[in-house]
Amino acid sequence: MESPVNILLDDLRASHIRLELDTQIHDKNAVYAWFRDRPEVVSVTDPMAVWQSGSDVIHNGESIKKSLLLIERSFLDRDHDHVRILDADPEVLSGDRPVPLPGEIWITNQLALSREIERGDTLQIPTSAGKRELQVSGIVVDPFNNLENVTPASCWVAPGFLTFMAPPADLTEVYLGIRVAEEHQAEPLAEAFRTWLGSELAGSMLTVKILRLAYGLFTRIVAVALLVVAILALIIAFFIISATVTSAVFSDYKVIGILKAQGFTPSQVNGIYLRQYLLTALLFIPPGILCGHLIAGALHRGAMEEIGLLGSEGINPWFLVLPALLVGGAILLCAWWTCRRAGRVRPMEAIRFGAPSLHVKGIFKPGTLQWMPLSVFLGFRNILLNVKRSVFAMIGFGFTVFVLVFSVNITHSFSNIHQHAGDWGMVAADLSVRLSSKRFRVRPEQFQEAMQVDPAVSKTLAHGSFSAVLPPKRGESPQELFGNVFVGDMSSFGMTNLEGSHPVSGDEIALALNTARDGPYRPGDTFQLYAEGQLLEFRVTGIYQTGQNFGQGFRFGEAAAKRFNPNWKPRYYGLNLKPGLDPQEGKDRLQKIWGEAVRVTTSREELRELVDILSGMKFALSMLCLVLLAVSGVSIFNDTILSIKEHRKVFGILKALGATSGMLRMSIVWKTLSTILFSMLAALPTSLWLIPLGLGKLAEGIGMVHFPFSINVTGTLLIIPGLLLFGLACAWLPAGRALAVDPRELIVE
Amino acid sequence: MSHDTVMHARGLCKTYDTGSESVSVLSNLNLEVAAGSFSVIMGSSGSGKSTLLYLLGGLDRPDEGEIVVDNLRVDRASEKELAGMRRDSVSFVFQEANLVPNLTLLENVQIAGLLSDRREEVNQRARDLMKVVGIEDLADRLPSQVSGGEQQRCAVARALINEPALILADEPTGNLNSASTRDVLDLFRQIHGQGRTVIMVTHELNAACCGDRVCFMRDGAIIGEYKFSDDQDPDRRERLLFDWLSERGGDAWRLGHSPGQSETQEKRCGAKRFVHAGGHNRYHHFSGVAICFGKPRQYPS
Repeated sequence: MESPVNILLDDLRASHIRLELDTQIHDKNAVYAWFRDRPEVVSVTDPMAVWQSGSDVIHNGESIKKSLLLIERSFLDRDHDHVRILDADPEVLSGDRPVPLPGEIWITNQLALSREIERGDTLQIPTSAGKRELQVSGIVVDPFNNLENVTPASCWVAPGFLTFMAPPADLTEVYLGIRVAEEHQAEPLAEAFRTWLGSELAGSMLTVKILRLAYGLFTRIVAVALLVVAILALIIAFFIISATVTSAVFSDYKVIGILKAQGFTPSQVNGIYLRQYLLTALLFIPPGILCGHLIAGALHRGAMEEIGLLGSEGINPWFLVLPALLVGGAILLCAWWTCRRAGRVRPMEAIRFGAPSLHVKGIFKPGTLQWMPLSVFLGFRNILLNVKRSVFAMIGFGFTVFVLVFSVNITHSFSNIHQHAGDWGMVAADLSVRLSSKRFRVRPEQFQEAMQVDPAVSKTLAHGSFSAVLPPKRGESPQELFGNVFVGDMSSFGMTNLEGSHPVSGDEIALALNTARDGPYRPGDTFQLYAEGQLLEFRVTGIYQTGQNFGQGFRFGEAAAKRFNPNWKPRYYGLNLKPGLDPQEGKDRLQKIWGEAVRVTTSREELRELVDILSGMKFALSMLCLVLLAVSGVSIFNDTILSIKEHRKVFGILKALGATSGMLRMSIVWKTLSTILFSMLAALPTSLWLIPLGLGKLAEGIGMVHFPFSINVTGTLLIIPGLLLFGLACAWLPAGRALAVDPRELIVE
Repeated sequence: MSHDTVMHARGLCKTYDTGSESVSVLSNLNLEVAAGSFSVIMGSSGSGKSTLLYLLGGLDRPDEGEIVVDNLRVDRASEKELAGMRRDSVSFVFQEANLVPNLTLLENVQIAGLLSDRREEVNQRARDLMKVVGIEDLADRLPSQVSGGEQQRCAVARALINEPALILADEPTGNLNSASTRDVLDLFRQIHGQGRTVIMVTHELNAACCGDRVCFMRDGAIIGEYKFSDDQDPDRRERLLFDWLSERGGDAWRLGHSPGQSETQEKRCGAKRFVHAGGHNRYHHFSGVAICFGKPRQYPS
């Protein structure tokens, strides 16, 4: 699945480093010259002017809820960093005009697909002079800007057109694309650039390594999940083969004895069963390959379509044939191993006594049968008769329960993320307000005063962001660190610390977990921070976890921010509404009162990007659950058939004694239901204990040691009847074979 | 059906389709069994004895004719009614004990009791019956841990737990040694003595003498019936029955190497020479085939 990315990067000769520079801080010509003169650099693009819009871009009357990064497309024909034009005017496609016209915009294929934008549509882009309409005249693919989870989304406009979109004072940023001879040279070059710069980079730098990581993130998660499911499916397949062959050998025990008595060798007897069951198993490998090919092909086509390479390359058939050969080999080994049981049958015992019967004693007290329904008793008995098989089935169901519990609760955790925003290092507020810095402004003090008397607002927390630099350690470059400043009580908005307490005075600071670990710093330690030309010391009061910036960051109070910059003022407000008020109504009301001076979002909207990730995850989890349920269903079906076959004589006896067919069918169903129930009893609490623990371990790298796992009690409890109904459905149909057992077979003429 | 008749069958016909041809097993068979009687059905292998038992017990349906057991039209009854009949009115004892192999002897007896509506005190009833059949000490043993005779006694106890109106026994001593045969036959005598109705299929003369009448089957029909009188001792019964069977004529009565005959029967009857060994061991020659009963001992020729 990574081949489309490689094709994309190679075909379009993508930059290995993309640099965004603030030309007010850095000399773009000097930076350009530095890269151009490096021996490993193949080419450097001319600096391209860029401008970022607000997120309220309107398409067909609705906001696309994504801000755009408008890049001026150059007339110059470059050696690298091409874009693939998928849809545009004929003269663009023919190469006569390599840029959009003024008033036109080219957007990425990804943006077009996700927001259903087509060529010819109009986008209304908010500017300081009001909404500006641009017509979409091209759909293109650019490797660096074709990802859903990258904000802002890049777009291209005519050369020099940005001056119509924003005042010159706002047009201070440029893009540079650098391509090196070998991809592995990109990271050392980026490090060398930071060292050469000698100060904090005002802008951002993206290397191809991070790009690959971003492209492959979802694919890797899906790949790991699929691998786990494949291994589980293979184990269950082994179990089914083993159980089926064993059952057949026990059924034919006497016949095997007769064959051996007549001179069949053990290997000949083994061969009978090996050919019989191996053939059956192998028959289903081609349909498996076909299904795998179709599914992988669909995923591949989706990935190729997104990057505009549809139909250019299929899946390498060896990637399908090799796993099929491996699975075939593994099945052969498993079938051979189990079939050896047939060769070991002793002819004399087999002919005289038949197959050894399975025994279980002392489980039930003598009086138990009196009050226990017979079908339930027989069901339990069947479980205990073949403990190994039952335990195997329970492990299989247990894994299904684990995945179901995980899916239900992780979905719930993300859906209710706004209620646990504090655990994610964010402000748990009903509404988030950003004060505008543009035409219509409101002073923070004025807004604060208004909120204190607003009848709908119960609590307010003013805050803002703060960028600083960690003093470099020996041999390392200085590290940029983003922090948050809070004016008020952080605890009242759900913010917590893993250790220690919130900072209050001007010389106190709380550190995000990974920042504290990198130090290492503990509460009480001294911490230095460089910003606004000053290096100041703080006392660490607490360590907190956050899901932002890979667990790096800091928090302090207003007094601390003012030590760096006496004019620092908050620009964000977290508002909690009075009980019973709807956040959406609260948002509409505030927006109506304050107009363009503020931008209000509800907590759900604030966390939209995380929720967007969830929708992708939901699909993957649903598929995983479906696959596991299908595997469990097959397992139940097979186990039921085998049970009936093995207990055919017992069913005949019971029928002759007066048992009805329904009673026998229920005994089979009870066995399945009991197996599922036992596995749920073990797997449910284990999953609820293990999942948060595992998530904490997995998310430790991004600084989330205590994953905010929220249990959906109703959803989790619904798994119990849901799985029981599923088991009932899977067992009921094959259990109908019990009806066909004929007691006449017991009577010897 | 008169008020003291527990079962009657009229005009029974049954044909099995073997694939290439149809084999008529029962042909216009009539039988009436009085309540409290002990009827024995004899006949050579393939004469339709076991098929008759299937039909009477509702394990199979006749092609033609009617069967009434305990006032139920068995030939027309639904599957549910037949299951109910087997549960409450009719019990089987097979040639093989057919115990559930993974249940203890006690549980095997209990399980039949649990199928009926009379679940109360099933544990105690099962133990009492095991005592009656003499296997009370083996309650916790599995079938594979006891002898064939003990298994069969357990099967008899199982057949009795629901106090059925009719007990159908298909060669219950066919797989047993002579000691176990004696024990099981004593049990059947005891059951009959308690007033139960028994229909038993057998090849063996001494087993047949337990009954109060013997029906002789040939080619799917009952061709004769012999009734014992109460004052006859076992030895006399055997002689009378033998004489009666002899009168039925040559090929009609072969216990020798008939097709499909069991190994046990072959061993007992195909031996070249048997000698008297006391009062209970006898042999007779009839139409060149040895008929044996009692406890034969073989001597080298």
